[in-house]
Amino acid sequence: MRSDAATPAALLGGLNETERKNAPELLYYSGEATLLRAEKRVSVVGSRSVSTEGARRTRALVARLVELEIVIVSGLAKGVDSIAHETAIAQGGKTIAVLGTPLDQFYPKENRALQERLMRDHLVVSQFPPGYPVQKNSFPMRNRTMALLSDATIIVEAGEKSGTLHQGWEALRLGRPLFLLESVAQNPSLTWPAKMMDYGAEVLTRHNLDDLISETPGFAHAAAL
Amino acid sequence: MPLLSKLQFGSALVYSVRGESEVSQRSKKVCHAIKRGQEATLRRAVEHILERFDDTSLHNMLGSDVILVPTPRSALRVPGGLWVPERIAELLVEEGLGRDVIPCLERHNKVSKAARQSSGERPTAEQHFETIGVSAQLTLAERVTLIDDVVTQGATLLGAASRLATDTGYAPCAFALIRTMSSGDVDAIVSPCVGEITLDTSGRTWRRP
Repeated sequence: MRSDAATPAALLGGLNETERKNAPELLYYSGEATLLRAEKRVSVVGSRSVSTEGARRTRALVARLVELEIVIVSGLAKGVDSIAHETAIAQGGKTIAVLGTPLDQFYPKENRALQERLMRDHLVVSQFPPGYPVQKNSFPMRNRTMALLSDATIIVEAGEKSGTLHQGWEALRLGRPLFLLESVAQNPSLTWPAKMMDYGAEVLTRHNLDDLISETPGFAHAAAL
Repeated sequence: MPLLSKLQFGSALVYSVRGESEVSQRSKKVCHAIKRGQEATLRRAVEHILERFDDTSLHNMLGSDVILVPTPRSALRVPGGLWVPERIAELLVEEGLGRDVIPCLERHNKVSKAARQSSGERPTAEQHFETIGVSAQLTLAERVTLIDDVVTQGATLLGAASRLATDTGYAPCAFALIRTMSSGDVDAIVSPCVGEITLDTSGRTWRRP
């Protein structure tokens, strides 16, 4: 499958100092790079071991986001990520996968067909060059890159030690909206939602979804001014 | 209550919240780019200020002798996180429109985001005053100006200015890069103005223009 590489600044139309801090030097990609300049891209992320209810919420959420013409970003992992990509495709939307492996590897293996389809018809991005060995910190690094490539992040489900939290904190550091599903924000067994809300995360409900997404700053050309 | 009853403010750009004309739609994108801290847009906006500086009253709050104090966000700040008012202040200093940036105000308890609330439910100036503290010394200066990215009704600026005045004795002015216009279309995005934020007896703030 054909792939290319470019700097994040070239793909996204410039980075500010905060964005440059954790940005990878290069992004390797296969598919429609123009999706990185779509009006709005929103990450839908969460646990690999998603609950039945979490899976249902992910499908409903992504279906509505696709209706709102949002490009769905996720990490092609098991659970919430795979459901997000598959639902986006099923609803006729566009989706971007940000990998924790190089483009020439498939993880998890059962997602190989999905990854190949995304490379052909959508977009798959990795900060790791072909052949690069996957390391322990590859996935947290990927999560930070996913926050950079997204105008907002929505966390569907995540435990106290979930890797998804790396993305949440990075979204807050970048000043991008971070939304927590109501079921996560009100889960009494979790401590991280309250901490993230002190730093600006907001609760997403079916009633405020359209407004919050509409008010999310998306891609803007500097030439507008 | 140690809140200031009024505050002089200036702004360089305007955006229409609900306007549908081409300029209004573009103004919304510019506001979004500013909120995102998009470097090229911030730089272009500061260039516009510089180009029109001598023809406006913005010298009331900007100039090479003025200490610029970034206004805190509504939530706590992640260490090293994006702080657009600070970046705007730095760019103003680069262009000679400020002497130095002193980030001496800090939010110690979050307030709800004004943009998410209806007009009557937004955090008041008093709530901002109570949740902001002075965290560093202010260099001796003749003039001090608070810097913000967007001003809506002015509650954040009035609350922050009141905190600064109470804790340091300085009587600041304020400057927000872009101001909202809640109804109608805008004719031009670059529209420098100087006006006033006032506090009424019910604790609500009003911005004119």
